[in-house]
Amino acid sequence: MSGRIIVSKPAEKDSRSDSQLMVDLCDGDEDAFSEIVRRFQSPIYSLLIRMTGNEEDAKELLQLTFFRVYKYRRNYDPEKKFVNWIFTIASNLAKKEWKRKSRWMSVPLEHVHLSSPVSTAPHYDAGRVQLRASIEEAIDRLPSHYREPFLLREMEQMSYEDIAEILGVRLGTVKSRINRARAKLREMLNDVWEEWK
Amino acid sequence: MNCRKALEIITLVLDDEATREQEIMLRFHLLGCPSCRKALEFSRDIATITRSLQAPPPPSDLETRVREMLAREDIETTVPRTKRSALLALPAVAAMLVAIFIIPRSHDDEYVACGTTILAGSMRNEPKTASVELTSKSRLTTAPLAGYSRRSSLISF
Repeated sequence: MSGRIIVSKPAEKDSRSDSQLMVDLCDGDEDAFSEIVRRFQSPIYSLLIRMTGNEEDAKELLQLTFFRVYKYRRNYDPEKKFVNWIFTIASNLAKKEWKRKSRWMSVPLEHVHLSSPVSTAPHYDAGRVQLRASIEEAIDRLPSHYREPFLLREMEQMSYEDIAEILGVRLGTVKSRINRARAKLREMLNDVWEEWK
Repeated sequence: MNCRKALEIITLVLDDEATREQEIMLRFHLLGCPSCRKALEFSRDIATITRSLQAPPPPSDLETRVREMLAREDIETTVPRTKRSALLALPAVAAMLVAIFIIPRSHDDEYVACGTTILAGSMRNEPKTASVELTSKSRLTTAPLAGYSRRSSLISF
């Protein structure tokens, strides 16, 4: 039995801009859609997990986000940032889901119990792991209208202008919500942080 | 500058959104305010750790799933809603026609069906236990209805 070893070349990086991919998709280039999925699936999924609080909902909304990108591809204005457009779609879907599940109510701070390390002198790294877990928990407990701009800023490194566009709020509102999110996180994490330091 | 204003500027500094003037004002304030110094350091740690948080990888079959959804959407939009409901109503219409044209003649021992298509359609829905003979001129007659009650024919539809 004879055979050939086929060495597949690694896929070449697509150098097209996000906007160009959308233009090409509208012209019938299906590969452009594959590239869009490849580029944005991780950041959108990461945000959706933080916003919904569970993987199942996040997966469903992620799928729906790309479905809408394709379905409404002709509504996209190539003069505007694609990243803002797709994050707006994901954000709106998450808000709809919150409304559906009535998750708008925030957890009062006095009800939040963050576990602190029990050892008297925790190792630095162990303490950092503890702090990381506590930060994750505290972010999940932020009211959604503080959590969303905070995550877009910290995890996606977006500018205030972009966040305002995605959320459909004023620039001043974005600044104040991020400020409030940080203040609440400091309040919730104070004991854990003091111990870690 | 009071602490409330300082905390607002701390957020801007962390996000590289503060003006040069705001940075200088904050620096002066921090010299004499350990509480705001702590807030700045604490916020920096939170930011650093938050940025390092990693979500699990997205599902590997995401694109396939999306394309499946799109394909389903295509099918639904290709067949107009009116046609879809017409297709769904077809068995019911067939049953009604059979009831109108065939059942009233059930006093005869034997009868000929009015429409080939209708009867052929209705025969497929008849219970397997009912015996059917195709013997008349039109080659489409049913068995004598003596052993085939109205109740059983209704149940079969």
